[in-house]
Amino acid sequence: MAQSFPYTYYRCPCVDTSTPTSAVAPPNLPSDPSSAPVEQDEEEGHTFDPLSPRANFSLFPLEHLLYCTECHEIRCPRCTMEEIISYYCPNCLFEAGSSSVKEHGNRCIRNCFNCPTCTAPLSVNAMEMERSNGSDTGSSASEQSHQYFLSCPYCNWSSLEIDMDFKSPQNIYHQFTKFYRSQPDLESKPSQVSPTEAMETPTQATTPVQQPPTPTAHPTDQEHYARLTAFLRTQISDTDTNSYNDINFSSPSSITRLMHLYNPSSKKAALQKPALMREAQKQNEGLVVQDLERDQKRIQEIRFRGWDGTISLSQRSQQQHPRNIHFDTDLRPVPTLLICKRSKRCRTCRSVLFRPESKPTSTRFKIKLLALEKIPRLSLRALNAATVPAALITSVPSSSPLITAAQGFDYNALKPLKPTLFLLTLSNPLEDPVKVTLATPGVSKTAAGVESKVTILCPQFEVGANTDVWDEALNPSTRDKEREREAKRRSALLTLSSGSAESMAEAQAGVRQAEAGKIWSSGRNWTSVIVEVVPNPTIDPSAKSRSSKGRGNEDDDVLEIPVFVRMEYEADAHGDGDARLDDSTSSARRRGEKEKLEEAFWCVFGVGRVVGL
Amino acid sequence: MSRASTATRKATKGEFIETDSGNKVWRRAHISGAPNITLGGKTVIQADVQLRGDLARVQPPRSQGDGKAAPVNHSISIGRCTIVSAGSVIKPPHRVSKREVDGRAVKEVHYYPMKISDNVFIGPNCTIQAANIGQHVHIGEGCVLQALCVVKENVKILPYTVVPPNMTIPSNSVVGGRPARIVGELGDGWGMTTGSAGGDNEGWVEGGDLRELVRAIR
Repeated sequence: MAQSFPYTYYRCPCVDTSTPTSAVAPPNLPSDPSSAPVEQDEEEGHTFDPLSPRANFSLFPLEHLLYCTECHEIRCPRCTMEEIISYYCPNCLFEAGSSSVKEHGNRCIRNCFNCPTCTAPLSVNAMEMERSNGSDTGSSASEQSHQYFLSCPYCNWSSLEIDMDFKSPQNIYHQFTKFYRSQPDLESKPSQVSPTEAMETPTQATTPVQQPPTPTAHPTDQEHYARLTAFLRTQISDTDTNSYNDINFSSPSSITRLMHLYNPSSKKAALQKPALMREAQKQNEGLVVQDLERDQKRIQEIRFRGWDGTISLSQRSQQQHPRNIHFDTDLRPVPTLLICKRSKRCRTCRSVLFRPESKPTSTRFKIKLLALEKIPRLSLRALNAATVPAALITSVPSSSPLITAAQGFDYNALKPLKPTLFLLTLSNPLEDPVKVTLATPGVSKTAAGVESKVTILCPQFEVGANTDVWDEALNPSTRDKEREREAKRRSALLTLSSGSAESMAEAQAGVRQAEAGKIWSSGRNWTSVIVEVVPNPTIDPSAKSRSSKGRGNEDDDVLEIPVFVRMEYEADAHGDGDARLDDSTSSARRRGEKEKLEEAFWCVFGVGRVVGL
Repeated sequence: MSRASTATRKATKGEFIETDSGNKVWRRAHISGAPNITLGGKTVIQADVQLRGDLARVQPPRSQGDGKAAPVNHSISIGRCTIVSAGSVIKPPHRVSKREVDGRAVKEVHYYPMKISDNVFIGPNCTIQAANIGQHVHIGEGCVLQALCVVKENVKILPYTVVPPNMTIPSNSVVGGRPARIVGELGDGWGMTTGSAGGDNEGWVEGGDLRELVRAIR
């Protein structure tokens, strides 16, 4: 798993096939508190299972989710539509016009190339030095000394290996395509037997008949494509006499023609079969004949060159024209693929959720509706883990290599039968206080079948509003509250330390009894509660059989806890609280036009790995 | 802006020195060529970090009668709230060029200034030779950024990545592998916190404002 523990994934509801996105009603009907999403989940009567194969497609980190303010729903990459705003080269960051994209096939047409062997960007080098050394006698030194070539600074591949050089360091793509076209297909040189003949007289193939090479024998990709398109075009025009391509809907005759399609009276006409299109049969029609001799030669060559001379599948697929490329000498520099900026729309209501500026170098945006601004951020960490990553506290670098992983608690080794306490913190991005209800299936399993008991000690709590930082400091009542909270937290800590000093586990157990139903700590817009996890070594037989079928992989022991989060809050009836006036007027206004809203979603905490007993 | 080596507020015997502008520089960091290094403030240089400010561009020697001191060559400039974790090496990028001197080919190494912007996190044991690193870049552990690569804003570099020389990494991308290639896109909410520095939970995220994290380092 790429992400280090503990992580939080949010589930986008769009995967639920029983409630397709288009069918999901806007959940926040103002009056009914138990409205759509909760009800739907209850109706389904099942809890979300992070182990189900489908779960992979619905879980996302919070940063990747958008929020449609029209539908009041989370929107994931699956339920947004993307529109391309601009194309640009990732290497030179120049924007490419859509016409040039069409013409040149999504490649950078400047000087950007990638190494065909290792994908690193190639650099243009002049071979002045080498030439000037050897040009003591050569009279053509002056013209040769200005030759350029592409070379890879990472793997030292150079275009000189395939005898490719350039006259000027500018406009390399143009020179590259010219070079590509002028060079005949490598394969057409060695085999001079026309493949048809080779097929007819296979015995003579070993003693090649000297013939002028037929130009059609091994067409390049461009030639092949041109022939095939020309052939197919004639075929279409020959056979498709009653084509519907040229229908003019305004003319009554074509309308009747169209209507005849559906009219049973025109059976006769329908029975009349159109002439069939035939396949390409000659080489000038684009037929490519299997060349056995060439294949034999290639096999010979593989023997000769060995493994190092052949190319990998990824190298081959990266090539612009991957047909007939088998050896490292066939590799060509790859013009850099363009990337694009995209805007995102909600699939249901088509409103724009995200629109960046079109300039490639700009990171600004015009519209950005993030789930981060509407959905509380939930985070989990072990209670006894340090807040500041240990990597930053210690001065010894080797002791703690990973900043997020090693925080004084080993998430990769959750011990069975030992209750581990985690702190679940929910921070509220909204400008209104929120009532939160958490729910979790009591037992969550790892893929290997290790069941763990999960208990949220305080499933219902309130989270303060995300007000201005200064409000809290200036408002005396909130300050008192804060003091109260602080005192509570202190007492909780006291109970923690006053428990049996011998073992930490017992002390934590003592806290659990004391704190059940109470929040652990809270602040301006966040609240933390304790979650107790007891990995249990009882193995679920069904899961075991599943994993023993060879499905066992490294992530089988990862414990993921699904948690259902439901939040209720009251917000301004109009606007989503973005038009904030100063305190007195806005609070008065709010009292008048409050609206009860609610939000509900599943999320999954990746807690860690469960080790064996 | 203040020089790293000057203006220490108090000579406490802590593990690090905090400058007037809030830079936290570990005593055990190896800083050479300090006059060529600029720290933007609230920047953390951890123990065993090597800052090679001495590898600056060699200016052509001035005439003796000029009267001025040698010009300052900025070789490394680091922005605000940037964290360089323990064991990393920050070295200005160089390029080797060949030149003909008296009929013989001579290799010359040129060093270029490097710029690291604000809110950049550089993980432990990295080697950085980039020409430019944009804002809100998160570099994982053990990465190598080879000479003259350019990292734009909002980029995540996965641990143990080797970014080849001259590579440009565009904004909003995730790169990984050796050599580095773009393996994904960052979410649209990269680096956004939930509007708070929530008490005892961490008030920072990868790629976000690192001020809270800098403050938390003690």
